Amino acid sequence: MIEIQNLEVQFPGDSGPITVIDDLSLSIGKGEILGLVGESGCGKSLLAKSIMRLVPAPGKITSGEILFNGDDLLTLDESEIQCIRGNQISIILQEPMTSLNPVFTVGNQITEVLAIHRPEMKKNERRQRALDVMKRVGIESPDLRFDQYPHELSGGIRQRVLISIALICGDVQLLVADEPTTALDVTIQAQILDLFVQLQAEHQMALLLITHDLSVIAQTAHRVAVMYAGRLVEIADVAPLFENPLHPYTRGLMRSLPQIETRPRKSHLPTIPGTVPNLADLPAGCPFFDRCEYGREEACTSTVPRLEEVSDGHWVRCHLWREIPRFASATPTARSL
Amino acid sequence: MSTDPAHILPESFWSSLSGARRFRLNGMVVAGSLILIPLVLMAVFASFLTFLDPLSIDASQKLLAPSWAHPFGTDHFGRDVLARTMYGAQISLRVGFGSMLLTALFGILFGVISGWYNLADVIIGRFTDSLMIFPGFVLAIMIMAAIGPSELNVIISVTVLYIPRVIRTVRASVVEFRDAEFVEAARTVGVGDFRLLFLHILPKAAGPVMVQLSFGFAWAVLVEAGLSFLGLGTPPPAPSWGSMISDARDFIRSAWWLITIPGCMITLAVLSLNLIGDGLRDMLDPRLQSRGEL
Amino acid sequence: MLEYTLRRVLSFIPTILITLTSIFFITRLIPGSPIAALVGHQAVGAEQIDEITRDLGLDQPLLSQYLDWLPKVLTGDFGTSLFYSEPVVDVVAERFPVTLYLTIFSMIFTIVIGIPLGIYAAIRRGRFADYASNVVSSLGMAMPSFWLGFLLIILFAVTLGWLPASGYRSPDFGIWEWLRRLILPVAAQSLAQIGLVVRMTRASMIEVLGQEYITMARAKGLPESRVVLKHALKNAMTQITTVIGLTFALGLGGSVIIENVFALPGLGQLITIAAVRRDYPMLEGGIFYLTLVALVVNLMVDLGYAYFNPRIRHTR
Repeated sequence: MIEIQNLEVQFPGDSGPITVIDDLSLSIGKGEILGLVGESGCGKSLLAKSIMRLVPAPGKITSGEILFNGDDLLTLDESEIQCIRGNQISIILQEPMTSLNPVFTVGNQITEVLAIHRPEMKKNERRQRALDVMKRVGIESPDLRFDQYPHELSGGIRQRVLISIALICGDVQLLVADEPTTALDVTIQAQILDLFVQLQAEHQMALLLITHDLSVIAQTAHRVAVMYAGRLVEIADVAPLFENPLHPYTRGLMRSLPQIETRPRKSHLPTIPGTVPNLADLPAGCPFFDRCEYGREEACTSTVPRLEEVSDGHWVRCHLWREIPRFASATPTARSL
Repeated sequence: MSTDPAHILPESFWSSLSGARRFRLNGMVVAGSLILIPLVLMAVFASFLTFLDPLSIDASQKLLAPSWAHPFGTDHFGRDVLARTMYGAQISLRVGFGSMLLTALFGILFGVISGWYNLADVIIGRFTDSLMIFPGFVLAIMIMAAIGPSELNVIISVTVLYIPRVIRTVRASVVEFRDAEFVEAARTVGVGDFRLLFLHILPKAAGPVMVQLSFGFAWAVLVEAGLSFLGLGTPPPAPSWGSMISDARDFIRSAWWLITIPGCMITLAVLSLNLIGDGLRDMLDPRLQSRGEL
Repeated sequence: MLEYTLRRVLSFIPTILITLTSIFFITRLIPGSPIAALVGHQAVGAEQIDEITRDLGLDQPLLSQYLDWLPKVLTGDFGTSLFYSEPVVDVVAERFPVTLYLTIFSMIFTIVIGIPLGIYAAIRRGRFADYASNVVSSLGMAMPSFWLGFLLIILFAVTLGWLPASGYRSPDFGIWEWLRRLILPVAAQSLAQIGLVVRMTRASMIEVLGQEYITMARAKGLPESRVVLKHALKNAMTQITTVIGLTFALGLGGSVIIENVFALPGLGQLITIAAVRRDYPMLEGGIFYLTLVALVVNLMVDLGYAYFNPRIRHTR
C-alpha cells in the first residue's frame, strides 16, 4: 500500500550536503504494523515526516519515490498532498507536549481537520464526531476537554488528543506513529498500544510504529525494521528477528533490553559502546564499525555494506553476517513478553 | 539502556550538526567593524586629517557647495563641513563610549548588588522600574532640562536611560548562578564572594552585557543627535551631528550637503554598531538570531 | 480574563504614583534649582523670582513640596505654565490631539506595513526577499527619524511640491487639509519604527514556524496559508503585541522630535519648548500626560497579550 523506494534526505552542511536518510526502501502492506527502531538521531523521526513531505527546512528530499496506492507522493501538487495529509495518511508526532498548538482549544484543533477534509459537515456534526473519537481513544468527559487548552491537560490526555486528530477523518489508511507512547506511563502505554492494534484490525489500517523501545515492537508489530545512521540495517518479521537477529547493532539493542523473567537483576544493563556517528563525517565503510564487536578492519572499512536478503523477507546490511555466531543470549521473544 | 530515551527532534539534531559555526567570526561583526573603524580613525585623527578649524567663522566663505577646497562644502557661517563632520564624530563617539563605560561600570555594580543582596534588590528594582516607565527619549529630555545642556550631561542622561537594561541582565545572571551547585562547592572550599563573582559569575554575564552595550552605543549616538537637534544636547558651536542638522534646516532648499552629510554619518555609525550587536548576539546564541530586542 | 483585567487595571494606580514621583524628583532633586536655571537663562526680576519661588513652593523643604504637589497633580492640577501663563492642563489639552493623531496614525501605518513584511521575510527566510527586508529595516533603524523627516520634506514638499513641508490644521478645516499635513510626519515616524517591527515579527514568526505544532498543523492537511495565518500568527501575536507596545512607547518619544521637524503643535513640541525654557510646571505636566498615554497603551498591550495567550489568562 505504501512503498518507499531509494529515499534520500539531505541537509545542507558546512562542507557539502549531509545525507541524513540514505537509500532507504521500505514497504508497508494493508493492515500491517511495521515497527521501526533505532537510536535517537538515526533518522527515524525524519523518515516519518518524509512520508508526509514534512521534512523540516533546510532539509530536502533529494531523491527516491514514495508510492501511496500507486501515486508518488513526492511528485504530487501541494494541494493534492494536502488532501492526503490528515485524511488518508495521519501522523502522530513524538512530543505530545509541543505538538498541540498552545493557543487553540483542543476541540478547535480536532475539528479543524474535519473543516478541511469534510467541508460538507456542519459545525455541530463535527463537534459530535470529535467527541465520539475522543471517547473512543479513552478521553474521559470529552465535552469538558473539548473546550480546554493543551496546557490544562496531562501528557496522557494530550497524546490521546493527538491520536484523535490523527483518526478523526475516519478513513486513515496509514497511520505513522512516532514514539506514541514514550511520554506515557506504562499502563496508559499499554492501553494506547491496544487501541492501535484494535483500530488497525477494524479498519485494515497500516501502521508505521516508530520507537526506540523493542518491547513495544515485540508486543504489537508484525514486521520490524532497524535503522542506523540514516540507513536500514535489518528488516524481518518479528519472530525471526527476535529469535535470530543478524546485524550486530540489532543484537546490541536486544541485549540492552531489561530482562524481565529469569535472571536476577544485574548491576547494569549491557549497552552498545560508543555513540551515534556524526552524519556529516561518516567513515568510508560500515558506519557501525567503530561500535561493532565483530567488525574486522579489512572487511568492514572499505565499502558500505549492501542490504542482502538472508532468508525470505529477512534482510540485513552487514559484510560479515555469515560469520557472526548465532545469537545466544536469552532475549525476550515476542512470546516471553 | 543504550538507546537514549531523550528524543532529539530533527531541528535540534540539525543544529547540533552545525553547532561549530557559532564560534566563527560573524559576518555582521566584520561588516559593522569595517564601517566603524574608519569612523573611529576619522574621529581620533581629525586634527591630522584636516587643518581647517571646525569652529572658525568666515562670512566670505558661507554656503559654498562641495569643491576641492571644501569637499563637503561650507555652512552658513562659512565653517568647513568636512572638519565639522570629523570633529562631530568625536562628540558622538565620546558620548557613546562615555555613557556605555558608565553604564557598564554602574550597571554591573548595581546588577551584582541587586542579585546578591535581597534588600538592595528591592530598592534597585524599584529604581529601574520607575525609570523604565518613561518613553526613553522623553526621560532624556526631562533629565537634560533638569541638569542643563552639555556633552557631559548627555553622557549622564544616556547612562541613566540605558542602565536599567544592564542592571537587569547582570542581576539575572547573578541570581541564576548564585545558587548554582558549583558556586556552593566553591564556597565550601573557602572561595570568597568577591572572587566568586569576578572569576566565575561575571564572565558568564559578559556576553549578553557586551551585546547590550553595542546596541546602547548605537542608541547613545542617536539620542545625542536628537537632543542636540532640539537644542538640549551638546550646545553650539560644538559641531555635533545633531546640531548640524538643526542648523541646516533653514537651508534645505539651497544647500543639500548641509543636511545630507551629518545624517549619513549618524546612519552609518548607528548601522555599524547595530550590526556588531546583532553579530555578537548571533555568535553567543545562534538560536536567538535577529531578535531585535532594543 | 475578567479577573486578570481587573488585577492589571488595579496595578495601574501604583504605577501612576511612581510615575508622578519620578517626575517630581528627577526635575527637582538634581542640583541647581529650576529658579537658578531660569535666572541664568532669562532676564527675570527679583520680584518675579520670589513670586515664582512661592508659586512653585520652592521655599519649602523638598518632602513637603512633594506632599503638597502630589494631591494637586492627582486631581490634574499641574499649576500654571511659567511661559504661557495659563493652567498647564489647558495647554496640554489643546496640544494633546495632535500628538495622539501622529502617534496613532504612525502606529497603524507601522503595523500594517511592518507585520506583513515581517511575516513575509520569515516565510522567505534566507532568500532574496528576506535579505532585502533585512537591509531596509537595518537602515530604517539606523536613520535618525528627524533626518528622515527632512529628506521627506526635500523630496515631497520642496522638489515635488505635493505636500506641505510643515504646519498643522485641525480637522475643522476639512479632513484633507488636516490629513495632508500629517502624511509626511507619519511617514517619517513610521519608517523609523517599521524596521524594528519587521525584525521582531520575523524573529518570532521564525521561532514559531519551527515549532512542532506547526509541523502538526501541516500534517493535518491544512493549506500553508492557514498554517501561517492561523496557527503561527496567533502564537507569534503574543510577542508581536509586545512589540507593538514597545513601538508605541518609542513612537511617543520619537514624536517629540518629529513634531519639532514638522512644526506640529503637539505635546512633544510643548515638552521641548518647556525643557529649553525651563518651564517646570509645563514640563512636568507634559511629560506626565505623554507617559500616561504610553502606560495606557502598555496596559492594552498586556491585555492583548493575555487575550492571545490562554496560559496567562488562566493562571495569572
